[in-house]
Amino acid sequence: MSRAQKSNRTRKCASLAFGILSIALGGVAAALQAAQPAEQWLPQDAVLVVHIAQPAALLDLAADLKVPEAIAASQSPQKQPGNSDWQNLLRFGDALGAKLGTDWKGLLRKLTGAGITYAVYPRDTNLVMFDAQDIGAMEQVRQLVQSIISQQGGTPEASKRGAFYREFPGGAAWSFDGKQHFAIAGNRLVMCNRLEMLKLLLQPRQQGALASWPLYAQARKAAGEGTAAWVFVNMAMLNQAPPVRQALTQAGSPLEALLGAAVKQSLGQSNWVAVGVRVAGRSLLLRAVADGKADLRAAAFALPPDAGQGPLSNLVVPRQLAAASVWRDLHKFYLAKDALFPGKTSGGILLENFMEIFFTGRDLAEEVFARFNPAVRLVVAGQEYDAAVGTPLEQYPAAALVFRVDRPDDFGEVFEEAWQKAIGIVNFTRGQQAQRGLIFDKSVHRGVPFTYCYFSAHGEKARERLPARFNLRPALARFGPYLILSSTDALAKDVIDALSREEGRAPPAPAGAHTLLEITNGSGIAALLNANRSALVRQSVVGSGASPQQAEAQLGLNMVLLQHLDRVRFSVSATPEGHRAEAELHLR
Amino acid sequence: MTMTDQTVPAAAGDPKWAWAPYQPGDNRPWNLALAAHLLRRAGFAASWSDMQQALADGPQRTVDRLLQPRAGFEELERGLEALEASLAISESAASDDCAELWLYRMMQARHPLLEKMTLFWHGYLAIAGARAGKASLMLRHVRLLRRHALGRFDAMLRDVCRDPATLMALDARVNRKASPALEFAGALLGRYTLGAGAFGETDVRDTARAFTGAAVVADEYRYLAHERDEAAKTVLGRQGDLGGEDVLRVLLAHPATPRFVVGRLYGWLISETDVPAASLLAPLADSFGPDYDIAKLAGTMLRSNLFFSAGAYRQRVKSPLEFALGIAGAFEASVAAASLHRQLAGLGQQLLEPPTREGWPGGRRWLNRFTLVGRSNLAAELLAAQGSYAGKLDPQAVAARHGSAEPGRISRFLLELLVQNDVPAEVAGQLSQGPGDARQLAHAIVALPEYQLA
Repeated sequence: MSRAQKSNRTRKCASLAFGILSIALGGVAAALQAAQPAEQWLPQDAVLVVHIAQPAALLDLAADLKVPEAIAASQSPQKQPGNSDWQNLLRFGDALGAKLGTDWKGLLRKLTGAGITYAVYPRDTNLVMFDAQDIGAMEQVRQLVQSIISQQGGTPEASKRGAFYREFPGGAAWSFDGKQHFAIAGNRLVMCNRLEMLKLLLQPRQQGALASWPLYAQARKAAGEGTAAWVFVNMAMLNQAPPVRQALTQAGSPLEALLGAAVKQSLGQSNWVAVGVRVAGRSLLLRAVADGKADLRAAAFALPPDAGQGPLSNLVVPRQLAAASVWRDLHKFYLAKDALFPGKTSGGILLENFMEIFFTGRDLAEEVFARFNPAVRLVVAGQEYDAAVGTPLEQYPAAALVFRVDRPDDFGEVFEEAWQKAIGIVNFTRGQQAQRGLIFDKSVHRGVPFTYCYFSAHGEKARERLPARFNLRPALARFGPYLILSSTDALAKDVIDALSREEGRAPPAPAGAHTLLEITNGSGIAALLNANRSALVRQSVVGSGASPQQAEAQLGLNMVLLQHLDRVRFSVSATPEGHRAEAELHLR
Repeated sequence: MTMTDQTVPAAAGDPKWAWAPYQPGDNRPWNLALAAHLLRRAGFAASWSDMQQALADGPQRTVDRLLQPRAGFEELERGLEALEASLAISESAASDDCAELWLYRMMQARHPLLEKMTLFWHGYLAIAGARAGKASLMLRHVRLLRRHALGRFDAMLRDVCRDPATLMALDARVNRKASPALEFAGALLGRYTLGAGAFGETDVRDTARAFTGAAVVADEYRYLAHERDEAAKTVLGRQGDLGGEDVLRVLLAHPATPRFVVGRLYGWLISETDVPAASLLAPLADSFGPDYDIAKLAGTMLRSNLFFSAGAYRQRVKSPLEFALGIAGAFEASVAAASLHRQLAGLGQQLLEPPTREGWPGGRRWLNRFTLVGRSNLAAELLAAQGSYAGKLDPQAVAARHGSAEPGRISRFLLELLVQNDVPAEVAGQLSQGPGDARQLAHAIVALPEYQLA
């Protein structure tokens, strides 16, 4: 197609836009009479809807935490000289703020006070609606747009771009470039990437609204009343999409399957997912519900068989960063392996072969996995490095897995033998690459003897920049019915202390839950990021093409946000109706 | 004016004319095409501002500038050294990690000629990360190459012979008297100094024996006296209890060595389509031999009449790396090096992993029906508004920045920027009538045969 033809086509598109809107806007006044909720305006068959009913609550929280300042600090170096959209938006915001006599924060509150709705529809259609508290603010926006368009809109270039401006009773519709289309109707500003959708929105609709769609209504109810924001995901539609279907039906690695198979199966069976968000002081409470049920035959290993069973409460150790507690029956998981991994990979076979070597030819199902109680706990903590050894340049947190086992005296030795073989293989492999190996040692804590190993620092020159291997001092301890497999001996000792405090009493299991995750120290994670700044910046630089300064700024923002994080508690439960996930974010 | 209508001058075979500095004149004016040619060969990309600067400065001043780092070079180096710190002591990093950071450095273009020459020496020595074994060793290897890239060849050679990555990759982790490292010796004679045909089997064996005792222990070079072969050796006619340093002196004094290096650099900087006559290279080899000053040699080539003649103009096929970085540089942005590295590997150029002992074969072998489609796909991804490269390359914005925002001027600007109008008039006409979208237009231009030539 020649340039002239293309230009001609663009002009025709702009004319068509006028035509469509002229027809559509004929009846728009009726639609605007009552300020209908967004879900009355939106048509059915949405793929995703995010509705923020109380923007002020979220904005207050963000302002309280100085999030805008942190974002501004991280964004400023990223402003590209050629990023004209960003510059135009800033200019528009400044002009509008001046017109309304307020700054950016005030502007945001004025224009979004009555709600924000983002929706995605099939055929790559998306839209955002901003509802202002008062109609006057939107009228000011319209006037500003009109003045801008009157300055630029009449030029041949603007016409070629598909720019237009059209008023109708109670509002106006326009586009600057023929790609994004806008409309103001009463107190509502709509931004949409498809003109046909804008037309549909502006037409009065008696039926076929999102609110009257049963799928949406069920999800809306499940999200709960009085939410500050809520999200609807149309899983019935997404599950038809091959990539989603594939992601939810393929087991992935054994670890992925062990941790996520039940949730994936539930999502694969779901018609919808609803997420409700509540704000309570400095806490955000999220509740996600999916209406699909997990397949009991294949995911039974992750579903506690009765209400009295489930994961144990998380352990508490010094310098703790995060903890997880899950209910996973390894015996059932192993027996379900053929159903979970129908096309067994060479990797899976290799893993099985290794397990047989480690466990000296024992039957993995009955003599190994059956010995593990399904309640498994993980704890992650920051490290204190021994000054006599030095500090690694890259610092990793320590992690410990805590299993409860049957017949610990007997099985403990079996497990210890397997562990020592694994360390031996690691040492042999490292030796082949001329790398230092781990040295075994024994220690005693609270009368509990345990094995650990370490890398010798002898001959290391830069003790403040040790290689990453000095993050590891693997340890295996047996304490009562528990096996503690830790990345450091220090954490193994802390876990022994934590288990001692439990005094043999099994802590109560949260009803119905099969996964419990807690992040307990956002500042600690931020400090860890800071300690690994160089490596993280490098990853960002090569991964995104950002400059080191930009990567530093982004990292700084993440650290600021993490420092506000006091604790997060996340649990996943299987219910008779489907799956439920609950998250509590407590901010400081 | 373009170079396409010029023929190789009759004087091109005359060394005196060929290596004399190019002086623009009425018959051979200094123009955008030649400025871009110089910037392409002495770097990876030419931005519009770079081309305009070169056009204003003239050829000799531009070469002077290319031989020196740009403002911000030291600051960038300090920043990159900090980013490399964890790689330098990592036991788990792969050579890909180093390669990605190197690609990032190339895109920053603070000293393009230095990076281009570092890449040349990487291909010349052809040490593969997979054989060196550790990313930290490859990082040190590349630092070594960069340190000497525009320095002295003799000093580089001495360091290379003690470089752990080189020794590991050439099966010389421990050069024992009971089993001298023949692969290392063969590479030293055949690929690093004399070139094939200038030595015999005895020279290889005794060179290996002369270097016995050299070893890599705990990732460092170490000399093990107990592994030293103290018996007499004969290398290129020189007899005695020769050590490694003695052999290097013999090799560096041999006339074949400067000839060989000059020949390889000729293919890199001037032309890979012809085999230059020995008489053409002789003056360069003669002047290179005594002090092995690489910057002086590169400067002579880049300033020469031959370099600015049709005998050199677009007489190289761009490697995938030159192709991709040329696009990124023209549109004045740095893209995600990790993704780019993976895609370049798919096109046959995995940085730090040369496929053969001779490095990358290059030339026409870069191109076949699969890699041409691959190049087009890579360009499409680089220039896409979204995706792996996040739309960072924005031809429309670059055109606007340089005063060519109007739709009618964009195609002209992009043709000048990317191929300096070196396309037949009908192709230029079709492009100007083609896609109105600047990204699509840029993609169409970089997919042209002319853009594949450096």
